[in-house]
Amino acid sequence: MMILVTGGASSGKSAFAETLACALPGPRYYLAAMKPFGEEGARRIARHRALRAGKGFRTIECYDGLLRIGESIAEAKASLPGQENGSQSLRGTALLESLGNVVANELFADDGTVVAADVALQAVVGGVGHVGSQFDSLVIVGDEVGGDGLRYDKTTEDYICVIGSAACALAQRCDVVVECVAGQPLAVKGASVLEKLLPKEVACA
Amino acid sequence: MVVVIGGRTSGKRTYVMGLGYDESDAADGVLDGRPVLLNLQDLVASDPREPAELAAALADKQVVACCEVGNGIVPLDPAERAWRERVGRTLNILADQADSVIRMVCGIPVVLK
Repeated sequence: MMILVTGGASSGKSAFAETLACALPGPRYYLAAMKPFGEEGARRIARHRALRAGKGFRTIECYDGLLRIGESIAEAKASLPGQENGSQSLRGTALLESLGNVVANELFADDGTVVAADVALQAVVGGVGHVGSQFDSLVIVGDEVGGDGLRYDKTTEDYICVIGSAACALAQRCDVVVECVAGQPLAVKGASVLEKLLPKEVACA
Repeated sequence: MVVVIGGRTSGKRTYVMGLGYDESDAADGVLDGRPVLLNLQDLVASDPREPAELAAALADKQVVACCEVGNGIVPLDPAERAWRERVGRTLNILADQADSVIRMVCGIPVVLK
């Protein structure tokens, strides 16, 4: 199952995505797509990692691209205590945070160049699909960034448009799509599936 | 009339074409006799009319699609502020008169009205 949780900044989408992941079968993995820029970034990541470790998430860093994390996933799965590597019961649930970071990682190369938007879009959609195939459930945290009416330089415009197009393409493949507004989850697709997962928390759009 | 709103690249055009129109039915940010108007926010930028007057000129459209433009910081530039407000006001009038109002979220149409 694939679930997309989208919403504006600080709309409660990460917290809701975590709640959802905790309602799905374990083991649970947190796929961290944010590159640790500088000391502040490293501190923030360390804090988040500690928070999620308490909830039983194993962190897998994936800021070098989603197609290259197969080995890290296998390692994380092998590190689970008392389980046979590769057995179906190990597939579990992954929480990918966030689509905006995944797009940035594919669009902006390490050497400072910007990849063509359609190439980056393909890498994002293909990469997320590839990751989704390795778990029973994948919860993707999205980003709503295209509603401010402003025009930007071409690079930023590409960033906004690839996030939007990737979200549309992934939403088509998702079983459930949720938009968070002021911390309230609104099911825009798959309301009945979501209702079964979290009976009391979800309003239907 | 059907009013379709949504952020950038949220699937508005694809949704409108799925209603049975093709690109030749759709005016893009300009006012002409075609049944569909896409990018109302661009028309508002080039047409100086006040919202009520512009909405009246659009009353015969079958579909009007518009980007959401009001979910950011208030622009410093007075002209951009005025544009943003006129987009919002025009949309409100059209949506009030419309049979149906759709908001696109990640390519999925959410019925508001």
